Amino acid sequence: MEPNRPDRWSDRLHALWRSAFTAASTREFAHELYTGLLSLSGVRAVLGVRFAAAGQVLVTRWADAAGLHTRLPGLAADVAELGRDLSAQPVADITDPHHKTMIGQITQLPAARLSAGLAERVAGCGADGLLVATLDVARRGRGVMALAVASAAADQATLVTALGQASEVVVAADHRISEQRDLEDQQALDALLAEASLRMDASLDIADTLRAVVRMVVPALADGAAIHIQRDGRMVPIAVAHVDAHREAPLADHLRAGHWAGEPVVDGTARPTPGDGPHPACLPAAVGLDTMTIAVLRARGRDLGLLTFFHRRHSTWRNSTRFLHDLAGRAALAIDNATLYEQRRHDVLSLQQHLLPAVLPEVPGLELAAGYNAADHTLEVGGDFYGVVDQGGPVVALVGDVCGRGAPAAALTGLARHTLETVLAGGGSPRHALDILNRKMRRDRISRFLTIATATLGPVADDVLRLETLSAGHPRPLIVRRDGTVEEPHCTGRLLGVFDDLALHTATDHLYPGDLVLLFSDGLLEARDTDGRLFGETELADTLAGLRSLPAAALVDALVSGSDRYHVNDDVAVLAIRHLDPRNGATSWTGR
Amino acid sequence: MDRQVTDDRLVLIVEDNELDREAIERALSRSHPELTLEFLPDGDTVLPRLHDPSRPRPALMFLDLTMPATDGYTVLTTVRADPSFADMTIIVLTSSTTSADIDRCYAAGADSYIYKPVNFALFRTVLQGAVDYWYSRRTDDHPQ
Repeated sequence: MEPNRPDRWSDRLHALWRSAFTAASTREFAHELYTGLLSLSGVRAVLGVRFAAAGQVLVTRWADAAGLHTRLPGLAADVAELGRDLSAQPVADITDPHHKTMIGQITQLPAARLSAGLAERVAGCGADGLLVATLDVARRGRGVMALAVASAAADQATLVTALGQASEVVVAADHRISEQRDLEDQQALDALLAEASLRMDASLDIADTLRAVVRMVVPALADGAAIHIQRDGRMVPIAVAHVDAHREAPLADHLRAGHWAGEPVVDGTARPTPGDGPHPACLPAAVGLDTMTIAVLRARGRDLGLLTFFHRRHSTWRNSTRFLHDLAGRAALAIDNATLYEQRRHDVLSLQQHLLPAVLPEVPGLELAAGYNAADHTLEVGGDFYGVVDQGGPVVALVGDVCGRGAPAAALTGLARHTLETVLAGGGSPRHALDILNRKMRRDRISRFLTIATATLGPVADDVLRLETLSAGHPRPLIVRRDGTVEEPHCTGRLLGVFDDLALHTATDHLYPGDLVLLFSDGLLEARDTDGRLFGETELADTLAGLRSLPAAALVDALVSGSDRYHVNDDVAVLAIRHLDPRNGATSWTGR
Repeated sequence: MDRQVTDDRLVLIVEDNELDREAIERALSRSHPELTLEFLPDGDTVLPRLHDPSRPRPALMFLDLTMPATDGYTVLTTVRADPSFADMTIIVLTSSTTSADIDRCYAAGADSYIYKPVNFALFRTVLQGAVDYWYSRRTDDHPQ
């Protein structure tokens, strides 16, 4: 080789380092590497082999005058023994120039020491031996770079130096690429964990969410995955995925039957621990999955389920065991949160129900209906309430609203209903009942306030029903006339729990047959449509006019649901009372 | 008489989104450089391409489910209705994980239903997992 020529080895080596440090795989600079070595005097062919940690040949490359070939037929078998037991006769060591550590050795092998197949290949290209470098490559594998040399035409010292230098490039690039891949694998794991966590945090439909999670895991990290959840004392598979659509049903069927290697974990007689390696899956051959790794879904000290990854034999998944346990931890928390939420929501709705009358009284001549809407996804009891007291005289209806939510609001709601209904049942007037409740709240220094509206119906004379209304800081009741006119009685007053004097002003009106009085809490007025407009400010009166012919129960249901246009997002109590027309067969309101 | 041969190393990718096509090419050309990738930008061109006697048949097809005009589901049902394509592996790629979509694709004959993640590193892993699985299956089923 002559100095200052374009094919000078030092120039090629320099270029090779540059390529090797931008390559995403050794394949990318293979041509440059093999062509460069092939250009050295006396080199007739260049051989490269990568062995796995267990010793099997992963990749072979062979370059000669005919070009560079990957996986030449038969070459893997010819080189299977190459590189073993060469440590006894090294001609040079290869040292990592940065870390000063030995990364391999170079040995000279005459053709007689090669396998018959390899010796034939070496002889076929005009060489009589191999200069072999054995290298430590990433993932505890071994590599071989070898020069098929015609010894008569070669300067061995030059070739040993060049082979050592080329091997340094290969080893350095291989480790860098391996580290880069580990980093990218970790990025993939982090992305999957983030996406799965986001999905689990955003939904309370846990079964649906976990089905999505196993779908995200397969085939990114496993060939199959399953999640079992503890239900009624046993583990039930609720999410199953297999990369092969045709094998998913057999996998799901088998897990449902419990006949798999994970059965001891499912029935509680064995418990996997973090770091447990893959175990035989013991699934039928039709499922095509050989090994499994299981993690217990455990949150707040309770076992909630199992997460299992399945793999084929010889699959190349890495890092999935630690990820499995990370994902299991997050899935467990999501399941636990969803379960606790459902439990709490059920308790809240149950308590709310107990703060409202189980049934409304039946009053001849009146049609009564009530409705209640609990705020969306709330975990606290609301303070809206309603009630109807019928002691044989005038009927008193009321709708109230305690400020705030939660246990303190629920306690005041109970107190208010009990106090008001006790006074009313004893013959006291609504004004008197409100006054007693206000004084009690002031005396007991209850920090919350409440608003309330009442409607007292009766007596009736000549089919005209007397109506007295009160409003203590509450939306005033509405009268919906038979002809669709909507009127607002002029009752006024202050809210309870703040002032000693409620300054109540009673409004007196009359209901004619077919007329209706409506009491409600402010959640109805504050329902909004998609443009953000308030129900109470826009369409409530028109809606009431349009709904006036409906039975009272249907009218209340329509209002509570926002008349299909307004989203009712708060607690709402609605009470409707219609004065029935005796001419239409209704029992007349008499004698009260 | 159909004389098309199947190229075991040919992968057809039907994907209308250019960014996704680029991501798939970047991912697969690195993880499986031995494969030949062929891209189609819409569902309308799939059948004419598959029936083109001058070109080999792909062994594997990645099929985006959501595409304008002829969507992936229609392509899937049409290809599966032709028994001469029974050996071709069809992998549905989609951002949906709803049970209804999965069941529909399985019933129509999809071999895999793969969630298409946003993150590239994860997308690469997903594609690599699917290709590794199906090529190992093809090797198991047709040992050389």
